[in-house]
Amino acid sequence: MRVGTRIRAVALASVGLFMIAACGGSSGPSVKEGGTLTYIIDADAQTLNPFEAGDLPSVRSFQFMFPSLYELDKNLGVIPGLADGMPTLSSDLKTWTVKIKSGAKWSDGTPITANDVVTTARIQASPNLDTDAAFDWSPLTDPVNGVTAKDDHTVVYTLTSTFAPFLAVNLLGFIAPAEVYGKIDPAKMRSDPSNDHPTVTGGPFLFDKRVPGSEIDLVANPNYYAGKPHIAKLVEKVITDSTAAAQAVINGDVNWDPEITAGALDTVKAAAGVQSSEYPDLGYYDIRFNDRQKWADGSRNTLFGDVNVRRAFAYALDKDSIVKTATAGHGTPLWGDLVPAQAYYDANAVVKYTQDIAKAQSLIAAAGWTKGSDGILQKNGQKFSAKFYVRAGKPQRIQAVTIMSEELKKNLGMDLQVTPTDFKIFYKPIQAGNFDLAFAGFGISADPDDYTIFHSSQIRPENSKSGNNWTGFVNPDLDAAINAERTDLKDTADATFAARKADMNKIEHILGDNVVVYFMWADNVGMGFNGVNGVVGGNGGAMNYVDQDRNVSTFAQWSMANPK
Amino acid sequence: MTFYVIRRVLIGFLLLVFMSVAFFALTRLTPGPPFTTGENPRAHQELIDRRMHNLGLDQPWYTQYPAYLNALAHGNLGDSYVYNRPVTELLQQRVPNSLILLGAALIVSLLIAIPLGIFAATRQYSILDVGTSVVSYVGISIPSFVLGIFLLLAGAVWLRHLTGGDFFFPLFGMHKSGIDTLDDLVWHMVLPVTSLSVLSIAGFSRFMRASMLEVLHQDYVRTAKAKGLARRTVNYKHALRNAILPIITLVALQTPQFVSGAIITEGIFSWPGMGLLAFQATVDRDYPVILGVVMLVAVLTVIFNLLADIAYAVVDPRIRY
Repeated sequence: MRVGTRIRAVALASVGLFMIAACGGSSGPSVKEGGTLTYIIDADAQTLNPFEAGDLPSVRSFQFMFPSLYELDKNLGVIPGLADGMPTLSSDLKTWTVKIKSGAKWSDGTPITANDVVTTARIQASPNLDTDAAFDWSPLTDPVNGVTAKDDHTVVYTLTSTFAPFLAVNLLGFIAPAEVYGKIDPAKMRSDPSNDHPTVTGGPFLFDKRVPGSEIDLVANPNYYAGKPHIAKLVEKVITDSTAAAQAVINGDVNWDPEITAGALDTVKAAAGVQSSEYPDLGYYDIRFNDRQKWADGSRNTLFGDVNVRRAFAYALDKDSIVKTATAGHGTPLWGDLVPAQAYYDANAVVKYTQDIAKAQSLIAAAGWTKGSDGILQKNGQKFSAKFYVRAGKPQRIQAVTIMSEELKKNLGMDLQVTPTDFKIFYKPIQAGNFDLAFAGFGISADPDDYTIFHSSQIRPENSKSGNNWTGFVNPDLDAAINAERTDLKDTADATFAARKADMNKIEHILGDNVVVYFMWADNVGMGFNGVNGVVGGNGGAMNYVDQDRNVSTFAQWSMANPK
Repeated sequence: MTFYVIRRVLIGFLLLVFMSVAFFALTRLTPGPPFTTGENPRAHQELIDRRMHNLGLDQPWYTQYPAYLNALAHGNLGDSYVYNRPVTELLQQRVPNSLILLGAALIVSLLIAIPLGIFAATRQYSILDVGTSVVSYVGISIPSFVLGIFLLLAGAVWLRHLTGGDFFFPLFGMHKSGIDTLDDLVWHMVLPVTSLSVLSIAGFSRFMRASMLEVLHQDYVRTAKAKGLARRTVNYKHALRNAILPIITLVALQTPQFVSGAIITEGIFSWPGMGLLAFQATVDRDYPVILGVVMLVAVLTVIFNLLADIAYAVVDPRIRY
């Protein structure tokens, strides 16, 4: 095996996925040129500056306008976008080199070069960048010297240590023109006047005009590096009501609804002429326990600090039934934090708890809890009574929590009060470590990385100010497995995938065996198309890859069935 | 009259200052900060803390208020935390859209409700009066979100199916993409205006009926009838002018409330107005936008109250200030 080939294989293996031919592919004699594709966003985009986009409508809006270095194919495998091939790695696996396609141009005619890639990364890595978007370039040795342009078409990233998810986590994002964004002070990026009308872009579509609160109009980029899009115009239409959105795609008033709500999904799926797909989202919900012995402020003993109590919780519930009821059948029950869309997902590698009330009662007794005269558990004068936090305005979550609360009271004598809480204050007690349990949710990337959520260094507030390990759970084996998952890069793609899969499985086992959290479900997302040709789903019809800036170039391959 | 107006303007100004204090304190004391790491596992608390500090949000509300009042006095409502643009610019974009919708709904409501109320009062206890009352109570009782969704489905979906796609109203927005004509705007207004109007018609017509009945039972009306004046002249020349006075007040007071009522309607019909902006700002704790909208409503309330009082004098020459 030649060195280059070997290194390329290693890079591919860093996300454990094999390169698959680009999807879409509507080219051919049947493709019609022109027409307008109307796309739904459920709120007005807060910004069209990709460095500032922290909300979903903004990400969905800018994705058509900016090229990406790498993209995800229909099965969430990493494929080159603007990059000319997969990255190569140095022998110590710390230096990543990426080649850029030659001939690619920005909308003003200037070439897209390595300097644009470097500038984009440096802006994102800048500690002064004022943004709600989350960029993490901490693997680099230095925000400036860690990413450099070797020549006009070669970018070199230097990492402090091996970091397996680097490709999927850091190299998938957008690339912006250095001549425009490099001249903006990162500290003033948030309020730059061009944020609502990008002047120079390089994606398949270019900004045309914006009607505030109503729509954003784009036109095909004739100089797009992957070929001019077949579709002439793209309108991002703000439709705030989910019923109207679903009916709009059924009627053909719009051509693409990227997020059909569960309540409307069955109607859309049954509609003639609509290409619809339902698939598990890249994200999950769980019951987040406070696994500490005491609240972080020391004011009271926690209820779920004992693993036997958490296992009793798990054995007392019929998860499949709860998920089915709460989501009306539009949720995929989970026993781990890997979701079906991810390549590492393995439904058999997790610890499952089938409902067994007798076992649950014996575990709770073993933990020293006995029922009082009121039927509520108590131990050393403390009642098993706590607030069960859940986001207000989220009916599925509230229903699930309500069912669980009732079952746990009936089956075990736990008094868990359903506490719907506004989003803005929901996380305050949880992040402070002063809670017992909460229904939480996380969006995740295609490549799993549990570091911020489960590594003990990320326990908030004790060990980290920004970490998301709210459980307080500490386990050296878990830390070691997470560290291994982040650093396991082997000589071949197969070897890396196998090594990381073993690490992932170990993480899943520790999380499940200790019931660190009680995993609930992944939302089954609905996406619908009407009058668009060339849209291809991945495994199980999944469309994750054409959402949220994950595969930009595929938009250029679509065409309208009846261009007007 | 001139002195009265000047006095009312001064009082209104002081009232607005008081309200600005109250609203400012309320927004700042509402639990939950504008910025959180939320459900993003890669968000950094340090960035959020820095932004809170830069905006002075880590200070007590009474420390922040003087700067707000100073900016307000200079016509500066601040920048939206969400859109990062001046609130005045956002309001300039959205307020006209809301005014078009609300103005049309108000005009339609009055054009239907006033004759309906008069009709019901002059034919008290007739089948038509009872029928009007029943319909009005149903109208008042329907939650606006139920009515909005029903109209959306009926006018934009079912009608489309029934007519084979030949006749239906738009599902969303205030214009079809690329079309900026008046008739297109009117076409898009039909469903949201109907939704807003039904609730107002029900309320206004009941009020008009009650007011008209009260006047019709007064001595001077009986005298007019005894003089042998035609019923039409008695009802419309003598009774209506007095009966409509309370309606003026009601309309003046309800006009600002229309803004809050429009939040749901604008949401259902994706109408890019102030209501939708205000709702999202409340969810996001976008303090400058919330304050901009509520202060605008406060100003409208003060102005419309003043206009109502002036209108009183115009309609009823006996009233002197």
